[in-house]
Amino acid sequence: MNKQMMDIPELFEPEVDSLLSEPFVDFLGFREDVVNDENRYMIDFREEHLGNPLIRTFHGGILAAFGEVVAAVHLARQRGDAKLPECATMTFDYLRPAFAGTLYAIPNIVRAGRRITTVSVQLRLDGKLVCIGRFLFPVGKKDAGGIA
Amino acid sequence: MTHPIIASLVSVYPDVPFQKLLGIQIVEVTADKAIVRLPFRSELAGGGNAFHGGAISSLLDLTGALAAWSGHDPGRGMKASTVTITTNYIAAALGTDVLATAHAVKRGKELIFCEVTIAEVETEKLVANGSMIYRIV
Repeated sequence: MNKQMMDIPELFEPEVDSLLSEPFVDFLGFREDVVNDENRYMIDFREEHLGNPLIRTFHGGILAAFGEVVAAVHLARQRGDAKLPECATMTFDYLRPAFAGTLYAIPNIVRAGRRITTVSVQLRLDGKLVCIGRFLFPVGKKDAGGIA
Repeated sequence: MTHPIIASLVSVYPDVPFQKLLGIQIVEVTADKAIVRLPFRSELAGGGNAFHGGAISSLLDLTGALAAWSGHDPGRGMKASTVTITTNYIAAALGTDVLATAHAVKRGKELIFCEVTIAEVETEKLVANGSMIYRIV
């Protein structure tokens, strides 16, 4: 299979579809692709995502929303849950301007505790880190498979 | 008295593309304070009939930024961006409009520290609170 073919998005698995089927997720255009055999959470710039028309950057709100959705979906998958966990608190840092383009997210479970799990999400544009967020999810006793 | 440039910025604030998509309504803007309403729509819902967390954090971000602009002296610069936001999700806002109230509590040379609370309009039930740091240079 050549590289071009591998870059073609594949269909979502059924359980992935259900996790990404919330109205708000569809509304904002978050998507998931398989690139080079890896799952990638992505968002393609649309005019309605514009936050600063002068320099044509994403609105900070949509970046935080994207990070939160990715954190929740990633945690649900790691735990094998069919329902998305609810975030209790989040901190989101804007490190560079997120210019119009395709952003992708890299989630990581920082610590899966018995009661609270912390998930960090990096947002990158053309390989450059533009935002980083930390999201705390109250969870049950089930181990979420963290690296702590 | 609000500087005309700031007044102009406030008037076009609901028309910023993403803010237009959310459908925000500016209720009040005075020096260092902003109040913004977000009417409920099904597209903004997450699980069930509640606002998605992303909609709430977006509202926190844009209301804090508006409070930062509200008392700003344009002579100090007009290039701006959010540095960081922290949102605590306290309760679900179920199928009802919410109101965000932001105060700029400290203005530094470049950084403006804002505190924001978000509550249901009808019941005044606290939905979320948090803070954000905005930078204007």
